[in-house]
Amino acid sequence: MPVDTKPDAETQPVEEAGRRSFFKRLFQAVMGLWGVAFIAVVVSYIKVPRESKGIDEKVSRVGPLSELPVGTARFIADEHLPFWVIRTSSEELIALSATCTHLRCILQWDKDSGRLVCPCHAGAFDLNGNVVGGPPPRPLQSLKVDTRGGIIYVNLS
Amino acid sequence: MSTSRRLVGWLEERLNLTEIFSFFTTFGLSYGEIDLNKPLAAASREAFTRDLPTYTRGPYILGVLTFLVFIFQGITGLLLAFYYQPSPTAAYESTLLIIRDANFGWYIHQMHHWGSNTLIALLALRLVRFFVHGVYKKPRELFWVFGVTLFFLATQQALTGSLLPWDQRSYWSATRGLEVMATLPVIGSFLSFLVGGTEVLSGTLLRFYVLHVIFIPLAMVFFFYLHFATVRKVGLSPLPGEKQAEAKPLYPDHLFQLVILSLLLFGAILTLGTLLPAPFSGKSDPFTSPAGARPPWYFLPAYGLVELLPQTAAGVLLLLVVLGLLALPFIERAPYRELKKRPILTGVAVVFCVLMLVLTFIGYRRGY
Repeated sequence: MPVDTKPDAETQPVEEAGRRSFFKRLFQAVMGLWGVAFIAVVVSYIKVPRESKGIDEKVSRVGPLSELPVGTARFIADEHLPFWVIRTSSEELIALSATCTHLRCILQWDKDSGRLVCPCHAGAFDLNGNVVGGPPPRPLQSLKVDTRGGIIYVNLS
Repeated sequence: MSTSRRLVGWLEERLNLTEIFSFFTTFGLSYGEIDLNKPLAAASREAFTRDLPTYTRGPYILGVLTFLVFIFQGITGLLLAFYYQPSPTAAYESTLLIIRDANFGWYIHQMHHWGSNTLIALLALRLVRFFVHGVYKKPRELFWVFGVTLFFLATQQALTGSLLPWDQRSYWSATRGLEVMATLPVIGSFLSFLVGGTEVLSGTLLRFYVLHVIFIPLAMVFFFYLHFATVRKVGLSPLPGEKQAEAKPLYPDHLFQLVILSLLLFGAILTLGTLLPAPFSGKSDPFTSPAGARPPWYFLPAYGLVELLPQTAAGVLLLLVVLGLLALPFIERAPYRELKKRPILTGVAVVFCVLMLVLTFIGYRRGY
């Protein structure tokens, strides 16, 4: 095939312009990908990591059953999920999240009324976790309680 | 397009965009003066079409690359600071959290590690280029002085940073580095005063942290600024024997070359961080010296010297080398810039480099 070495006055600038804009787009696309990847890495890095907890750490050891008489409650200040353990009878134990569903205040145990009350906006929950007063929009999260060898454990998972 | 023009116009009625542009030129965005009275488009066009020496299109633009790596170190360092806790009880665990639990934490850690090595290597290469091309000749003596200062600051930055992971390896490596620094007659005692002693104790970590994240970076920014300010005053130096006609404008020639070179450079840092990650050993134990603890590689020549000579002699010699390096532009004042025309100094430089290599080897071997 004969090769035309002379630049074609009519087509050359058009081809040149096409190639130029193609490379411009390619360059912009590559730089854009770099940018997107960089931002994605930074965002996912800053997001608080899920702590790699062992199996035993998902269960909180509350303490001996004998130290929790009937009608009393104990607060456990777990960093991720603070909760109350309440002994309602010799057999029955209840564990409820201690975080108010309204604005995340920590609930107090009111022995006289047998309720968890919120000191911030006077929200109140019964022992099933249901809202019985005040502004909270949702019932409390209830946790599973187990007693093994006289020790109370609460499952946090 | 018209939308962005309208936005620029709207902003320009309310704040001086040229002033902001000019602020970035003080950190090497472009060289030469900016007319603050002109609108941004005109002022930047003027700045970007200004002619620069040919070497700015070659692989010699180490200054700007160095500054980009420095900013990169700032960003990755800021990210690491999100999780790092500078106390002897928490430092190791928090580094472990970064490396193991945080998403891409190991990657950011490795990029910071390799970025610091790259920064030191680039600053050293830059000094070699300054020497070979005679850049330090009048009126550019300060290029060399600031370049040497930045190099030493970067080694201090790397030394303080290398202790922070608080694992056994970094702990003892930093201890060896501190030993070298402590032999320097005046500087050594000043640094010991700053870090609170010549040993690595529990209080040392916090001081290293403050030096690493605030003190030395600010000093480096200051010297980068001084360097760019000098460039704006006396101009970039052409290559020896270069004619003015060979100069090309900043845009597109210089800027695209810069983008390509920095992509290659950061690609290399990312690749090294993936393929050759810095090891992270067990928690540091001040009561168990591991066999074969060496100072970081940039301290090896000095360490070799300290191992060979009595401590005082080695310290004085090291200080003389540092001062001699700083004073080079004031010692060698002949106007020639080509290497051939200054044979004695070239000979001295070759001997110096060979000695550095030998001492590095000795320092490496003495590590065991």
